[in-house]
Amino acid sequence: MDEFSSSPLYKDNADWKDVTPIYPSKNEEVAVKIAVTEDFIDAFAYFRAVLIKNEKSPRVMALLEDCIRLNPANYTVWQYRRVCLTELGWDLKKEMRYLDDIIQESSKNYQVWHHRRFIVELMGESAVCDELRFCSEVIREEEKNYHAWQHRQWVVRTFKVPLDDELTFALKMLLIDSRNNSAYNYRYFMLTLHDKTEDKDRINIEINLAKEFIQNIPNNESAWNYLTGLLITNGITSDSNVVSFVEDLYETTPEDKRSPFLLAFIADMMLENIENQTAAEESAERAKKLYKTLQSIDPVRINYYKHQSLLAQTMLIKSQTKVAAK
Amino acid sequence: MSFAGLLDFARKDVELPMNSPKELLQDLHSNFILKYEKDKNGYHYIMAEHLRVSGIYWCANAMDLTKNLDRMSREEIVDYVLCCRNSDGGYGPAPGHDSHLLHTLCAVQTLIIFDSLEKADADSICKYVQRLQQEDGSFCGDQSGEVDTRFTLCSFATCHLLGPLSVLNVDSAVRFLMRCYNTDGGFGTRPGSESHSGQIYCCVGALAIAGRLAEIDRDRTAEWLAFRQCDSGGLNGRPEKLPDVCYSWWVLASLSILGRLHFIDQSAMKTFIYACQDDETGGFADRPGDCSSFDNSQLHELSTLQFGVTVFQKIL
Repeated sequence: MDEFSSSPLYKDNADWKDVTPIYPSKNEEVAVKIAVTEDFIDAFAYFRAVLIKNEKSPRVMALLEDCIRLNPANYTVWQYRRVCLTELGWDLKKEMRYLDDIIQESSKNYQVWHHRRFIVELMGESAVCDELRFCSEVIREEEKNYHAWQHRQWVVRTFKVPLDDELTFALKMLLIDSRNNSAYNYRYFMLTLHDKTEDKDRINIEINLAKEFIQNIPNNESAWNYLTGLLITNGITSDSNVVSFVEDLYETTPEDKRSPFLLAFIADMMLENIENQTAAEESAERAKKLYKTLQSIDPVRINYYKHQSLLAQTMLIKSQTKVAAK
Repeated sequence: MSFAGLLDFARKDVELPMNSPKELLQDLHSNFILKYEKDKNGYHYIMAEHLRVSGIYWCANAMDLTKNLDRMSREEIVDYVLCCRNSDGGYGPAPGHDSHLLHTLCAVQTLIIFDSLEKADADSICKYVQRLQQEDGSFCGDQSGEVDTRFTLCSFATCHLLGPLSVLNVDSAVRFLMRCYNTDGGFGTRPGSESHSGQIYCCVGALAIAGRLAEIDRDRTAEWLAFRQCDSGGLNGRPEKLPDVCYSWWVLASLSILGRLHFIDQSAMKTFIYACQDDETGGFADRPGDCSSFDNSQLHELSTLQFGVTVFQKIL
């Protein structure tokens, strides 16, 4: 853009004197001045003119960069940029470098990520290495950035990036912060992508990983959710190792240090026992006791635990009726 | 204490300042909105152009819910919204902007608030929405091809408000939603994406409109949502994120749809939302202690205000 903008405003720029800017209506202009700066009005007046002229040129690309700088969330500007760069045969690597900068500044903006995906699609396989590196950088900076994780998923799915590399990446992020829900989600995504959710060995590795993180920090919602998610098809009591791990953790933790997630998990195990008619009565008693404790140590969810306690009772009655019917 | 125990720091949360507001400052909020509207050039110009129709809807909705709608310039607003219609049948955020599902829904909702829906061409709007549905059932937000479960809700809501939902392929749309359903009970933007309160609202809302809530384990989804409440009373969007007023809406509305509103502590949440109010100018901050201009966008403030007000008027 350097070769075009010697003056800060387009209306004073000789390179643009052939274009008649389209300002908002008179009234609008007055009002807009309150909220936005003069260069905003100026650049967007030329943007409107360019849209109507349907001009696609390097100077328009420079104008669009200005408009994006002033408002990166304007999707009409981004859309027009895609039309222009396709038609101009724009240097895509240059576009990526440009996007690197923009995303560093507005990493939560939907448009920038969507635009990035469009460019990667055009570049194909050759972009993969840089993309993974770029996502890693953004994620290291902002560990739960939804867009960056999602973009990485898209790259990995589209270009068939190997499973192990990505599992390692997610693990690295978990070692930095074992409460990073995005990283657990990413591991599960990779398992799904490679059809590993029914693979016993793989699931055992994941279960052990979750157990390890829970052992270190029991008050970790994401790790518990991950563990439950891995077991959900067959039930959380289906793996005897998990059951004894959880019971051990309960026994070895002093009463006042037991995490609500630990207690809630055991309570869920009890509900499953009632359902399976495994020591239904004792399980219901224990579940209710646990929910009672949870009401006092996690009072913000008191009504939820009361609801669960009632559920335990209802399930018990149902199970007894079933037994009687037999 | 073990090293592991030392690492077990408290969950992310905020503290409510002692002197924060303890009741809903309704009049201040109405004035906050009217401050824009009463500007002699019309309030809608002040807001960022690229989100204008959504902004108008947020203002109109908040004013409607607080029974202040007659203080707004009905005709001017309706005319403006109608000017945002494009030849493809959809609505952009402002005249001359491309159509987008987000603004198309907001346009329809605004016209309904002002009893002017007959001025819209329902048929062409539905056709616009229909064209954005993809083969896998998902919806793009606009011609640029971005897919997100948010757009499924926008599509369902728009067509539902205008007439029969059957103009869309509901079955394939629901199949797509269910591919976004995660093992933790939540939903993400796309298949494989992380669960997020806002996306749960979109997916649960869309399933409810389609009468297909039976597809999910309501208790499991509601449980995940219940765990979004922090000790401060505020609600967050994902585990280990800070609470924010806007999630009061996403989480509560979802719980309400699921019939599990009682899973959270409503009084603690009210205290949190009250504390987010700006007791000088009106409006809400994302969380107590942040000034309401923190995000530096008036639009963001308006949307937050609308969420706060809607929670009180519609849910609690």
